[in-house]
Amino acid sequence: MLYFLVFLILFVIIAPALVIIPQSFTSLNYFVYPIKEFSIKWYVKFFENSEWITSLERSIIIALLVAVLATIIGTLAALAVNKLNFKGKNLFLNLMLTPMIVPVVITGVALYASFAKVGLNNSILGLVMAHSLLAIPMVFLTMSSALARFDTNLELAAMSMGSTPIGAFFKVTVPGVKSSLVTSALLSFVTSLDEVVVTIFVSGADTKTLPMVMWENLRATIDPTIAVAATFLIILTLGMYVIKEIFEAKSKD
Amino acid sequence: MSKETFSNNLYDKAKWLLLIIPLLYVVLTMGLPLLDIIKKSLISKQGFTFGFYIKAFTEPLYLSVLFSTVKIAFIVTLVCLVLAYPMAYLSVNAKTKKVRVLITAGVLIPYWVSMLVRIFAWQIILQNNGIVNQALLFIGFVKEPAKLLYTDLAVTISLVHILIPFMFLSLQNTMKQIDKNLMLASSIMGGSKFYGFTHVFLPLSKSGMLSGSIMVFVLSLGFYIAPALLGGPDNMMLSNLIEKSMTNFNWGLASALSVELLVLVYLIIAIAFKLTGNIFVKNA
Repeated sequence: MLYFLVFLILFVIIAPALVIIPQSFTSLNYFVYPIKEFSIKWYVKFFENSEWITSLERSIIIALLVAVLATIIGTLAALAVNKLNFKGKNLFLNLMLTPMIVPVVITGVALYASFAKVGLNNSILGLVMAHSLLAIPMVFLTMSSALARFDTNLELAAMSMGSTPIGAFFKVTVPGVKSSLVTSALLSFVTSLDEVVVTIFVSGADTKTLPMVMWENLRATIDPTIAVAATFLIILTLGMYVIKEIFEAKSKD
Repeated sequence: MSKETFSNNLYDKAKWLLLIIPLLYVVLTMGLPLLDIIKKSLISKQGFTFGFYIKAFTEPLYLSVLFSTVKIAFIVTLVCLVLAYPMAYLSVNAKTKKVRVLITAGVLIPYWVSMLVRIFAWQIILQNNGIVNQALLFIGFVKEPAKLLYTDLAVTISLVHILIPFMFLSLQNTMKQIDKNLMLASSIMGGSKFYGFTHVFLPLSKSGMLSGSIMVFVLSLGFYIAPALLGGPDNMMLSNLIEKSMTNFNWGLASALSVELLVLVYLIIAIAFKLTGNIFVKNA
């Protein structure tokens, strides 16, 4: 009984993520089940429309840059909290988590107002900065728990064997927390790829991301090209999850 | 040289780098912009004013949006708790490891599917000729398609769908720490399985219920996309009101409403910290 209930709930949770993919192969121009005839015409339409393609490319570029920037900054912050003694550590820690706690609309409004002063709205740099801000807390939490588990004695051993501190860091510490670094980068990538709310505020006509174009289409005319775009997003984000799982399984061996 | 100082040497040289770069980044892109919003909420063309706050707290429309935001957040939290509890329970207590892993993966995989896509999916499922209405018509529960889309119900369903992993992880985290021998002890002493659950397991899982609930509640307060796409014009939440006032170039009001939402969120988190400690760090 309990098992039945739990698997029913699980089905309801998982199924919605999957109803989209078949709809991208419909031959009709609206969404209905069951699908009577399959076609790839919406895929053709997707690839013919430069707005979808450029926004997909732009999204991937931005997400890659965010993965780098957020991972570096979040890791620095995690190192600071784990390895240093300083006054106001608690304040620092809470500050690093604020982007996760502040509702995204407020972040969007606030960034829009501040970016306007320095001309960062409607720019790739602005989007990378905004998305990185949202990803930093996740990297910070992931890396903090990884560093807390990491054995400091290994660094000491390396240095006592004559390694320089920087050498010890890159040769011992970094490989030691490698899988968490990968997880952080993937989380940041997905955060950026999936971001809509802050993007609505700080992006503009020249810097629409894929979710942004989807958002605009969802509010106006819904046609199955959105299902194609959604399918690509599902593949990209789920792909990241699979990579993460494979990587974590491998690093356990 | 003691171990402590030796180890610190490695990072002390980079101390300022480690501290200042993240600090500068978050202060410049989050701290200062937020202060700017607070400033905007208190200044009109005529100078300093509380006018925007007075408006935010007296205008019936704004008050009703505040009320319905809190109401939706409350219902979402409750539903998440009720649905996530049995799943978390089995994910910890199921006899075979396969089932435990399967449940956890099942809850977490949708979390990796784009949020916009998941909301879009509910649009398709709940529309007039969607699966739910087809089923309702088929069993004769309704005579004509029920209006499911653009209602509070649609918003609530999709928020539960999005936030349930947070509740699940929080519950699972606490349940993992419950000593199974306690349940065994209860049954040896003659307690029924049900008695053991209600008198031993349930009370011990309280802290997970509390931290999960607070996390879900706080996150649902600030939602924007789900109400915008699945709610009707009457189902606005605070976030949508903020966006709307901003697109109407009413910066003062948008800022005052932002501060209102922010204070609400932090108030709840402050209470939570008092009760359970730092929930965000604990659940990482």
